[in-house]
Order: sequence, then structure tokens, then C-alpha cells
Amino acid sequence: MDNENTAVLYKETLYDKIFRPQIITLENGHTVRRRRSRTPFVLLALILAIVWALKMTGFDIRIIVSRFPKLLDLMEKLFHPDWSFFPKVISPLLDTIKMSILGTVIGCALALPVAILASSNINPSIVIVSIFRFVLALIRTLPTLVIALVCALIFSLGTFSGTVAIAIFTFGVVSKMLYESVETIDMGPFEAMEALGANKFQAFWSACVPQILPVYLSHSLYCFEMNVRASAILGYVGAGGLGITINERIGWRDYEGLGMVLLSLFVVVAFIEFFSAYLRKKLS
Amino acid sequence: MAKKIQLENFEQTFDRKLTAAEAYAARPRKWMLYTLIVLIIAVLVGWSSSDVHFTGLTVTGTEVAKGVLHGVFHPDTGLLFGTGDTDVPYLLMQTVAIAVLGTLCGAILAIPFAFLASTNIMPKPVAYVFRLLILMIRTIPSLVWALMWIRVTGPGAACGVITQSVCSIGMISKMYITAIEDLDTHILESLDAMGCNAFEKIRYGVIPQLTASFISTTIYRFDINLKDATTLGIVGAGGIGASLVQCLNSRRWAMVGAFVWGLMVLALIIEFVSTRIRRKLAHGA
Amino acid sequence: MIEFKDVYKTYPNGFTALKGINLQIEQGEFVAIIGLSGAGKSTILRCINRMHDVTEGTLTVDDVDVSTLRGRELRRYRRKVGMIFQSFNLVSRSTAIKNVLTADVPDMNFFRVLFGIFTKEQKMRALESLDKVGILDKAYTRCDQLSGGQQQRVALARTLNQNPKIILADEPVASLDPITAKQVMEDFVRINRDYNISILLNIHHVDLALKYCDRVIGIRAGEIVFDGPASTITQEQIDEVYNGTKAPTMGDGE
Repeated sequence: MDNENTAVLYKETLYDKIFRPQIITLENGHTVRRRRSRTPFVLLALILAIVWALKMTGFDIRIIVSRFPKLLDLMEKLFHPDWSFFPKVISPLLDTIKMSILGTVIGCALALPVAILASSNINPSIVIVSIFRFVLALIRTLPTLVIALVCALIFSLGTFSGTVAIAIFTFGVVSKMLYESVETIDMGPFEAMEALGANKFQAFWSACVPQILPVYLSHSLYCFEMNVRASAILGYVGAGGLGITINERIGWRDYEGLGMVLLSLFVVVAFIEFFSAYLRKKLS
Repeated sequence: MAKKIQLENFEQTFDRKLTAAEAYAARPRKWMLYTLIVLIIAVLVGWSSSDVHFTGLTVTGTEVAKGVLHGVFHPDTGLLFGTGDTDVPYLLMQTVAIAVLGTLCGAILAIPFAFLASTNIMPKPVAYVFRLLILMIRTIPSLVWALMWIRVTGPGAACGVITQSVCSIGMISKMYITAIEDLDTHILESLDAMGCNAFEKIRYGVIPQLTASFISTTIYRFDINLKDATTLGIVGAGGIGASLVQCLNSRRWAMVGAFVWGLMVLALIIEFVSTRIRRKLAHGA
Repeated sequence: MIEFKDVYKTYPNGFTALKGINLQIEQGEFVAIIGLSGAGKSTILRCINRMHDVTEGTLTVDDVDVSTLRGRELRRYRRKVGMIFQSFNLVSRSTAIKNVLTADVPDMNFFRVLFGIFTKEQKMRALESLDKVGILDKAYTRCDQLSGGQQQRVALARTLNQNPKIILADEPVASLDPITAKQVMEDFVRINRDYNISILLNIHHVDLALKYCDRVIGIRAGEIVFDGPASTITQEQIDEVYNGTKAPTMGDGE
């Protein structure tokens, strides 16, 4: 209006039309526009959401407080693991690790070409890029446990189903992380390679791949970390590994045994996480 | 490393120009390392595939696969658009409700954990004890948490809420810690110079720096919790998961299809919205 | 010899970057092209190695009409024409020697490219190229640990490694500080003199162009307004290139 410069500083949204910006005039006649804060609106929405969610879930803090000692009992048993149970943990624990390794490797191997095809700076066809991205988004919406359950129904119970479920999950996640990273690589070297007479493949392979590879390995390691934790529960639906043992212990209310299972899992996860964090730091 | 340093200081040390042949002789030999890495991965893969056998399809395997596909393409529309307590929209709403409450409680509970585990605020030993605690919370799978909380709350959506509150603490506080440790302390210095007391420093120096990243983390976790809430349903913690698994086990494929469609659409919407809000937060609304 | 005959270049968005360029550059010349941004300096260079196609007119290099080249022939032709970029365009995570070795990639078979296997001769030649620009001691250092001047020298070594007859340099010193810029310009002079390679460079800094180059071409709005030995160019002629009466200003849709 009287001060056109401020008007172009931001786009007027619907919110600004309903709640007009306040115009403050200084003593010397200069004006400045202050947009109405959105905070009250957001807070109101949040409060409504909470009230609605409380009604929907029937969540009652009093029940939790009054029955909390039960959990403490349980936790106490968990913290006194039954060491004699350890020998029975080893085999399913190894199964879980094997499932994670194999699933991660398969998923990551499939993810590399797909991620490259889904990167808009490398693939010029917008249609193919969008199709790949949509399919990847769909895959990511499926919970791992549901995939594992379907696999268990199709391929019979056991580690194979778990491996397939982890591979599918890894494929979805790593592809997404990777195409987001690939889109940020420097295309300058690619141009330079074309200028010195390389064909598209040679240029891509010597200019882009060296930039993509470390990121790819880093994402794969990160996903492996997640997979070890995720695969521990897949056994719950019969997909092999530690989950079967966990399910069994809880079923028998053997919380000391469960404590042992969780402790072993904890040690393995902590070790893998530490190791992979170290490797990822080296890669960057 | 020793060889590289030699190469870079060659001219000062020997007072003559380095020749290409000498540089070639001093090249770092990396192929051993690369071969070793490839070998390790190969051995790991070999070792893990030794125990993962493809035992063929189950007797009903092809029937299940066909059924799932058929269900996905011919979902039970009555269930998908119904308004009853057992229909997809209601169950999805319940799943969202679980995720909303779980994430909010988790985000609030995570704040003290995060401050107590930040090395730039607490003494190192205290911080590391809390980090270990956070790692423990993170390691126990959410499904196990749910199975334990079920003993307290009984089956139902409330169990999902409390489970997600606890599970979220792990990841949320880990990301909060990063934000806290990245705090720009120069601002505190300038506030000090203006004569602010401790509370004023926190109010005007610390909180404005943290809110955006805290909110962003919370929204990101909401995205994850929503998918996780489906899984929790499998053990009876409310939401859409329980019904989905029941239908799968009783092979009512059209119903499975309805649930899967509902889940996909919801997850896609939430992911889209959450990505947009987080992008806005990162670049300043 | 590079020869432009009535060359016009119109971009797909309708902008005409070159309007009837006539130009002859003999083998071994050291030419600077000066002009405002958007005047068509980059377009001239990129037409020579066919990163861009000319719209009208003919552009011949060593009696070959560049616009007739296709596929493999074009790539073989590009081997003779090196290009240097303002932003160096190196793979910054790789070592200097690996970047120089990429110049050999187009001549290698598929599997050698795939696994990145280079022969000892190729490695020695790459090291010699690095030696020619005086950074042999940095051969096994990663490029992101090198200074801007050193990175531009790695890029120069990469170009030398392809044994070019012509080097096109697009604002080679624009991202460098004045002292490093002078050193890089001296490298160009030396390479031009010692190996009889023609060098064409775009440059913003008129003082550097006058000091180091033999011949200066002034270009304004896609037309050549000055072409002659660096020693004869006058201040009026420079003014004409940069703010002559018909010079485009921001906003008149050049």
C-alpha cells in the first residue's frame, strides 16, 4: 500500500487476508507491517487435536498411575536377567543378524539403480522419475511387520520371510535417502567429462559415481543399524530370529529370560551402532 | 600416511625437484584395503545366506499371493468408506489419535532426557549415563514395550499411546541432543553483556534457537509413529493393525485390500504434509 | 585453425547469443575474449567444442565442419579440445591424480572404466601432466583439501593429459584471488608457448587479458566490436566493449 517494498517481501496467504497485518507507524512517519502471528491458531488446533485424540483412544492417566507398580515389577525382573538362558539366545540372535545382513545387502543392491533412475538431475524423463518415486513412496507406507506376515504366509515360516521383508523395507528407505542425496551432487565434473569426449556412461561412471558411492555406503550402514533392531521383532509373526524367542518368553511370563534376550540384543545393537557410526564418520 | 607427508615436503627435504617416477613409487597403495573390504562383505553375505534357506512356497502360498493381489485390486468398498466402529475410516482415525498423543507425550518427556544427556550442559559422566539409558529405551523394540504395557493398561488404544510415548523418547531425545549441542553460545555471551540473568538468557538465548528444530523433530517422529502405530495393533494396542492381521489370517482378501488402501493413503498424506511443514520450518516460514 | 563464418546462435528460449561472428584463430594463438556477462563469451567457447550447436553459419576447426560431427566422431573431436571451467569441475572427493586420469577414460574399454583400472603408463603420464603445472607433490591429495589455485591447476593437468590442440577456458580465474589468478595465467602462457596449444579464454579482468594474452577480442551483445593484438587496444575501445552506446543494460531484454 503506502509502503510497497514490504508488500513484496512475502506472499500474502489466506491467513493474512483474514487477519490483516498490523501496520505500525513510527514517530518519523515510517511504517512497518507486522504479520499476525500464527501461534494462537496452531495452539488452538493442537489443543483440539489433543482433546479429540484423548476421546478417541480412551487414554486415562489415572489407570496408568494406579497400575504403574505392575510395570515396575516387570522392569525389576527384566533387570535381573536369567543368565542360564543365554545359550538359548545365541542361535536366534545369530539368525536375526544374518537376516539383517542379507536383507540389507539385497535391498541396497536393488536400491542403487532405482535411486539413480529416480533422480531428476540424472534421469531427464520426468514421467519415469515420478513413477519410480510414487512406487517407492507406496512401498514405504507398508509396515515391515505386515510385509513379514504376508511373506510368512507365502514362503512358510522362518528366516527367509524375514529376509524378504527386510530387503523390501531397506529397498524403500535406502532408495529414498539415496535419490535425495544424488540430487545434491555436483554435475560440474559430468560436464567436464562430456567436454573431454566421454560418452554418457563414461561421464556418469567417472564423475558421478565417485560422489554417490560414499553416500550410498553411509546410507546402507545406517539402514543396517535400523534393520538389526527391526528384525528382532519380525519373529513375532513367524519370520524367524529373536522375535520368536521374545514372543515365547512373554507368553510364558518368563521376564528374567526376556531380560536376557533384551540384554543380548542391546549389546549387539550398541556394538553395531558404535561400529557403523565410526565407519560412517570415516566415509564423510 | 608417512609416505604422503614425505611427498609433500620433498622439495624442502632434498632441495631438488620431485620426479614423476618418484611420485609414482611413493603412491599410496589402497587396493589391499579395498580387496579386504570386499572380502569381508562377501564372507558376511556368505555366512548369512548359509542359514537363510528358500524352502519353497507353502502349500497355500500361491493362493495367498493371488488373494492379496486380488484383494488390493478389489477392496471391500463398504469397509473402506463405512462409518462404523470397525470400518477403515474410524480405525485410521484411531491410529492417528494414538500417534498424536504418543508423539506429544514422547516429545515432552524427551526434553529433560535431552538436556540431561547433553555434554555441553551436564558434566560428562552424567551425560553418558543418560545416553546409555536413552540407548536402552531405543533398543527395546516397540512391540516388546507394547507387550509389557499391555499388562498395565489392558489391550486397547491407551496401551498404544503409552507405548509410543516411551518409544519416542529414544529417537526424539537423540535428535534434541544434537540440536542442543549445536547451540550458538555467542548469543548467550552477548546477552550476558547486556546484563541478563540465567532465566532471561534461557528465555531469549536458548529457547528461540531450539524451538524450530524441536518441532521439526517431533513432526518427523509423528510420521514414524503413525506407521509404527499400525504395527502395535498386531499385539492388541489399538488402531488398524489388529484388524488387518485378523483379516490376513482369516484370508478375507477384500477386507485386507481395504485396510491396505486406507493405510497407504493415510501414510502418503501424512508424509507429504510433514515434509512440507518441516521444509518450511527449516527455511523459515 | 578455428574459423567462424557468419555464425549465429539462438537459444531455445529465443535469445540470440551470437549475431554473425566472423573469426579466424591460427594454431598456437593465445586469445582473450572480453565482454559483459551475457554478451556471448561462453557461447563462443561452447560452440567450438559443440557443447552448444550453432544455429546458422559454419564453424570449422582444422578444416572440419564441427556441426557435421555426430556421436563417436564428435567425442573423438572433443579429445583434441580441452576445456577449463570457472568452478574447476573436479570430483572433489577424489585425489588429484584420479581426476587427471579421467581424461583417459574415453579411450578405455568398458571393463577398465567399470573397475577404474589404469595402466602404469597412464599413471606416469598423469603424474607428468601434474608436474607440468607444478603440483606433482599434491598428486595423492584429495582435491577438497587443495586451494582454489591448486584445484584449477589439477583441472589444467586433466586437460593437458588429453593432449589437446586447443584449450578453451571459461572464466578460469574468476573464482581465484588476484595473486593465484596471476599464477594460473602464467601457467597458461607457459603451456601456450611450450606445447604450441591454442588457448582461448573468457575473462572479466581486462588488465589480466592485456598483460598475458597476445590477441584480444571484444564482444558486445553477440557481435565482435574489437579484434586485435593486445598491445594496440586503446581505452576507448575497452569502453566501447563494456559500456558503449548500444551496450545492453539490465532489463531491456537482451
